[in-house]
Amino acid sequence: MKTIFLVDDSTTMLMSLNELLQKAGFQVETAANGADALNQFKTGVKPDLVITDLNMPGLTGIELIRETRKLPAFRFTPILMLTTESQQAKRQEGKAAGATGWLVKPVAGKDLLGVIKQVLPGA
Amino acid sequence: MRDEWAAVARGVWEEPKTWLIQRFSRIGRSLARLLPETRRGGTSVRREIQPDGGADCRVILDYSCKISEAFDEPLRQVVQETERSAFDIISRVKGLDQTATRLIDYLTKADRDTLDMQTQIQQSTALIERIGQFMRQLPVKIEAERQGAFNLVERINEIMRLGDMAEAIKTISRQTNMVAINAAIQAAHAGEHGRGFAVVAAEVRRLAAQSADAAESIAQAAKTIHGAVHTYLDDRMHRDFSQDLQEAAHVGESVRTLQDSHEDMKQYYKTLLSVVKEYNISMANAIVDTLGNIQYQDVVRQRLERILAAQEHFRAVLRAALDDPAAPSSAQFQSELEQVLSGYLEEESRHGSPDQADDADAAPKIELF
Repeated sequence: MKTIFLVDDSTTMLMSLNELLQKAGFQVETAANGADALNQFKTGVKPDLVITDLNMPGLTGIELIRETRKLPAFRFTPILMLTTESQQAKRQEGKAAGATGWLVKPVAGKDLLGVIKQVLPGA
Repeated sequence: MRDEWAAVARGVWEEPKTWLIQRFSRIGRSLARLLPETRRGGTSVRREIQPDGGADCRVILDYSCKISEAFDEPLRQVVQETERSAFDIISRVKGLDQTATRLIDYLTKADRDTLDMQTQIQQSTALIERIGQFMRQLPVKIEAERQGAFNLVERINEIMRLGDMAEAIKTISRQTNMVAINAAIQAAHAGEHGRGFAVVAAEVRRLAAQSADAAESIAQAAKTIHGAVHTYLDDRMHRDFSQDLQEAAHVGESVRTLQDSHEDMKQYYKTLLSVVKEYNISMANAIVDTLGNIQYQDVVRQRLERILAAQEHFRAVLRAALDDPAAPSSAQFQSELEQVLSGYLEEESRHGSPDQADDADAAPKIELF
């Protein structure tokens, strides 16, 4: 079973995506901010995919990606940005930091699962 | 639900945006009325506010502050209420999903049980078939048994003839006894010479008596055997087997009915399972859509939080103007108000619209690098 790690400061986002992804057959782990997520990654948590929000208190989503990519275990782990931000400049910043893809909230459930299948072959 | 959330998101954005623009415009118009010279000729001329105009301006600024402040709490309540609704939806959807899963589990188990039952019934059917074959052959067997019984009766009747023979033996014994008595009398008349003959005559009488007793025993035994065997055969031969056969046939029929009922039940469960699975797939898709649409709550929350931040900024500018009587006439005040508005609009423009997917010119909602 593939593991997906969700990072979002919104409880409703974490709860709804947790349910949606578990229903689709994934194991889900969560963090309410970038710093907590990064700490978990550094202490051995190794998901198959990370989905992170952009605007969070403390470490932003882009900063989280930048720091996570420095960890050898996460060099090739797909990381998706799921945010309300849509501007091209931010997208490019995310891409430069190492994001695998950019999804603008709200994303339909089936579309999100479709993207996950693309970045997680065999999921 | 997606459309409803999109409408909420649009509504949440449109009303405060209109309100903010109207509010800024009203303040601008009031200031323009109070200070007509300041904009004349496109040049910024610092003028003293007229005494009565200054008071009006302060009232407007003060009430703008208060009204803006009054909007904050309802907006925060909207965030909390939408959040609570979202939690409730997630919880209900989860419950619905669990119920559907339990139903599918139950029906899958029922389907599996009917298959096991079918195997048992098939095994029972083979056994019942063998019993049926035995039942069909039973009349022939009964007839053969009945015929055998008739033959036995014949043999028994022959035994009864032993009684006749015993009677004959008894008659002979009686005659022998009479002869032996006469012989004994004659031997007595002969005196000493007849003594040996008398011994023989006595022995003959004893043998005759024993023969008669033996014959009587044979006759009694034959009668007893005949009576017992006849009673048994009579019961066997006259018993009504048709009812047994009818009952046996009825059992077979009942088993076939049971088999048919089981087949109906199996089909019923299969159909039910198939229909429920179909509904479950449809419901699973709806659940995925619903859970996906919960993201609208986060979108709404972020928009409301931007409005709250803009309001706070707006009030800070107004309060600064209230503390400084000259501020409302200053270009800096207008510039700060402009910053509040443009800052908010810029923040808002960076965020995707719920209708972005329909806009060909907009950046894609999903982009893989």
